[in-house]
Amino acid sequence: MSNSLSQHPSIAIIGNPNCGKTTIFNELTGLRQKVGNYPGVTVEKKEGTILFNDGKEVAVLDLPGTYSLSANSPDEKVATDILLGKLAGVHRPEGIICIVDASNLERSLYLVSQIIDQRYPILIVLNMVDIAERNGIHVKSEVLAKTLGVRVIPTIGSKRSGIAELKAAIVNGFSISPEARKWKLPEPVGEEHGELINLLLIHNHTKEDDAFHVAAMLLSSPRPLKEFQGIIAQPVLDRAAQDYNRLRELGFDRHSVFVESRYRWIKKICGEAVSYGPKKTDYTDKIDAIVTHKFWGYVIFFVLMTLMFQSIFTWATIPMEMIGSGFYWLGRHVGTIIPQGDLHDLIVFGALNGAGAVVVFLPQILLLFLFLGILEDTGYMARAAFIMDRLMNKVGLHGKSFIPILSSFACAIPGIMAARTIGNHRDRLVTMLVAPLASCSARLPVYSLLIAAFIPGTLIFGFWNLQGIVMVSMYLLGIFTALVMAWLFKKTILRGRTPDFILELPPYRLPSIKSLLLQMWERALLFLRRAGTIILGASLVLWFLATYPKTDSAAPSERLAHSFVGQAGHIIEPLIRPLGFDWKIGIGILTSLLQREVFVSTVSTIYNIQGGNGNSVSLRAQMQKDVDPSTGLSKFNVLTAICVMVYYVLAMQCMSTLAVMRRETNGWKWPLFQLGYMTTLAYAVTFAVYRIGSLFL
Amino acid sequence: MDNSTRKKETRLSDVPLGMQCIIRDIHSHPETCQRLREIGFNKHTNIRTLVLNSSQFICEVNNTRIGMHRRIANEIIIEFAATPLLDKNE
Repeated sequence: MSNSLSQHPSIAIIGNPNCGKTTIFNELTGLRQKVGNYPGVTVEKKEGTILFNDGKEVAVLDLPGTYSLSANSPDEKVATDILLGKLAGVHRPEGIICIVDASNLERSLYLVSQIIDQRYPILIVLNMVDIAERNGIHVKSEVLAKTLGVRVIPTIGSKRSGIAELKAAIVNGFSISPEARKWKLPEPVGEEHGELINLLLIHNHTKEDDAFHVAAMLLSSPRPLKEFQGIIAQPVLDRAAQDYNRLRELGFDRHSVFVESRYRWIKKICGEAVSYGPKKTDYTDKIDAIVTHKFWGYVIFFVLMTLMFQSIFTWATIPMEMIGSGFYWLGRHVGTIIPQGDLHDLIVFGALNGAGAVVVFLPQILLLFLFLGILEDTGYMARAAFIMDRLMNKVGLHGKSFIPILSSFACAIPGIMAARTIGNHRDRLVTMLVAPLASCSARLPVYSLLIAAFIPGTLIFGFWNLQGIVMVSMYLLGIFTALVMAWLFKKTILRGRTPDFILELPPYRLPSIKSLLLQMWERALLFLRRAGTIILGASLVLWFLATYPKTDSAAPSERLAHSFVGQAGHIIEPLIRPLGFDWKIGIGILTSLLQREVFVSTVSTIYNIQGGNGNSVSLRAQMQKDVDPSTGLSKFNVLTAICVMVYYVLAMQCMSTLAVMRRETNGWKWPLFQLGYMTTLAYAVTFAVYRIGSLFL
Repeated sequence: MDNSTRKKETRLSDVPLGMQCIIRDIHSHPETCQRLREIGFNKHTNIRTLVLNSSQFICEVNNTRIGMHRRIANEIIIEFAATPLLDKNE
C-alpha cells in the first residue's frame, strides 16, 4: 500500500544510535535546519526542510537515537512519545524514515518491527552498505523490501550515495507494511497478550494501534505494576498481575519472551535477505586493544586532549589577529566618519571594542567544535567514555556521565542536555550538577586573553609551550573538580547504587566533512548571534555606566572612578580584594554573570575608556601597564591572571546554563544549589590559590 | 539438561579473549536484562570477547562492539556447545 504525503507534510527520521541518522538528515536538509527544544522538555529538537525541484517542501524531524520503543532515558522517551503520538505540541508524523545499519541488520530491524507494528507508513534506508560489504555482509535490499512489503533504499550517507533515490521515494514511496504484528508469541503468552489488548480497549480507551504496544510493554516490563497506577486502568493492572503468575507457572520468562519472539521473526527475515562472504581486514580490534588499554588508553586520551588544546591555541593565532585588525581598522574608519562626542565613543569604544573583543575568539571556538566533532564522528568519543568508566566508577558514576562532561568543553548547555541519555535520575542529576565545571568555549576568551598577556611563551623540553600547558591545566582543574564534587554528591545528598554501564562502541570511521562543517556553521551563527545581541547590548550598557555621570576632571582614570561602574566597583572591592582582584575585575565578574565571555568585553570597554582606543591586542598591553599608584606595582600580574582563571574555571557564570537546569529539573531548587555551591567553591579555591601564590610569586 | 552440557556453561567474563561462544542466559537486574536483549544479547546468539581488564569488558554481538562493566559480563551465562539448546520460550 503506497501513501502520498499531504500538502504540508511532516516526516520523522528514526534509527539506532550510530546508524548514520544525522548524516542522512544533513544530506536531505543541508542548511535548511534549526535546532530547538521539544515543548516541555529540554531534549534537543532538530528540524529541517527537504526542498524538492518542483518547490514542494517536506518538514523533517531528526528524532533521538533509540534501540526500541521501551524508553530507558529521557531522550529515548521523546522519540517513543512522538511515535506513539503522546508528546503534546508535536504532531504525529505522517511517515517515518527508518535508518537501518546494514552491518547490523538484526538489531536495527528490532526497532523497525516495533514501528511497523504501529502501522506507520514507512521507508527503510539501508545505510552504510559499504561498511557492511567490507565486513563480508551483503544485504539483498530487494529481498528485504519484498519480505517487509515496504520500499528499501540502500545508501552510503557519508558519500551521498542513494540520497537522490531517497528524496524521490519521500514524495510517494511511504507504505504500511503488511507484515505488521505477524511475528508469533508462544501460544499461552499470545493469549494473555490478546486478552490484555481487549481490556485496554474497554477500560483504558486506548487506541487500537497503541493497545498492542502497551499490552506487550505491560506484560514484559521490568518495572513494578504499581508504577503504572493512574495511567493504566485498575482492571487491566489486576489482569496483568494474574498473567505474571500464570506465565511463571507455565515456565515462561515474561521479560524475555517478547524480545526473543520478535528476534526469531527477524532472524528468519535476515536468513533470507543477508548473505555472508569473506571479511576484509579490519583494524578496529587492534586499535581498540591499544585505545581502550588500562594504561595506554589513558595516555592516549591525555595526549589527544593536550594536542587539541595546544592546537586551538596555536592554529587560531593568525585568524584571530586578522579579526582583531579588522575591528581595529573598522573602529578607526568609523571614528573618522563620526564626529568626536558621546555617539563616537558609544560606537567605537562601546560597540566595536566591546563586541569585537569577543568576536576575535571565534576561530578558537570553531576549532574546539571541529576537534570535538572529529572525536565524536571517528568513534573515539565512545572509547573515551569507556576508558573513563573506571575513573567515573570510583566517584559513583559510570562512563556515560563522562560524555556530558566532555561535551561541556564546548558548551554546558548541550552538555547538560547530553545527560538525558542517563537513565538513573540521581546519576543524571549529579552529572548535570558537575558538567558546567568542565571549561566551556565561553571561558576560552578569558583564558586566552590572560594567558597571552601574562604567561610567557617559553618552550618546555624544547617543544611544550608554557602557555599551552597553563591552558590544559585549567581544563584539567575543571575535570578534577567535577570528579571530586560528583564523588561528594554521590556520598551525601544523592547517594545511590552505581548503575550498570553498557555502551555501544561504533566502528572507527572517517568523519563526514559536511557534517563537521555544518556543526561549525551552526555554532558560529550561535556565537555571532550572542555577540551581536547579549554581548553587544551588555557592552553598550556598560559603556553608558562607565561614562556617566560625567565629571570635569581631565584624567580618564578619575572620570572612570566617578562613573556608575567605578562607584559600584569600589563598593564590591572589599569583597573581592581577598582574592587579589581590583574593582575592574569585580565589574567584569558581575557583568559576566550573564555570560562568561562578557568579562573580556567588560575589561576591554573599561580599559578603553580609561586609556584611549584599542583592540584586544592593545587591551593586553593596557592590562600589563595598569599600575597601582599607591604601591607602584602592576595591578595585573601572573598570580592575578591565574586567580582570575581559577575563579572562572569554578564559578557558575552563565544564566543560560541555569535556565536549562531549571527546565531540566522542573524547578529552581537545583539550579540555585548549583549557583551557590559553584560560587562558594570558586571563592574559596581562588582565595587559597592567591594566599599560597603570594608566598612564591 | 544433562551434566555434560552443564559443564560447558560458563560466565562471559571468564571466557578467554578472542573466543567465540553462544549466549545461554542473563542473570542481571531486569532492566539491564531488557536492554541487553534489545541490543541483541539473546539466547543462542554468537558472542566474541575482545577486550578484558580488571573492571571493563568489550565483546562483539551481531557485528557490534559493546563495552560494559565486567560485573555485567559476569552475569551473562554462555556455553561452548555446538548445538543451541531449546527452551520453553520458543
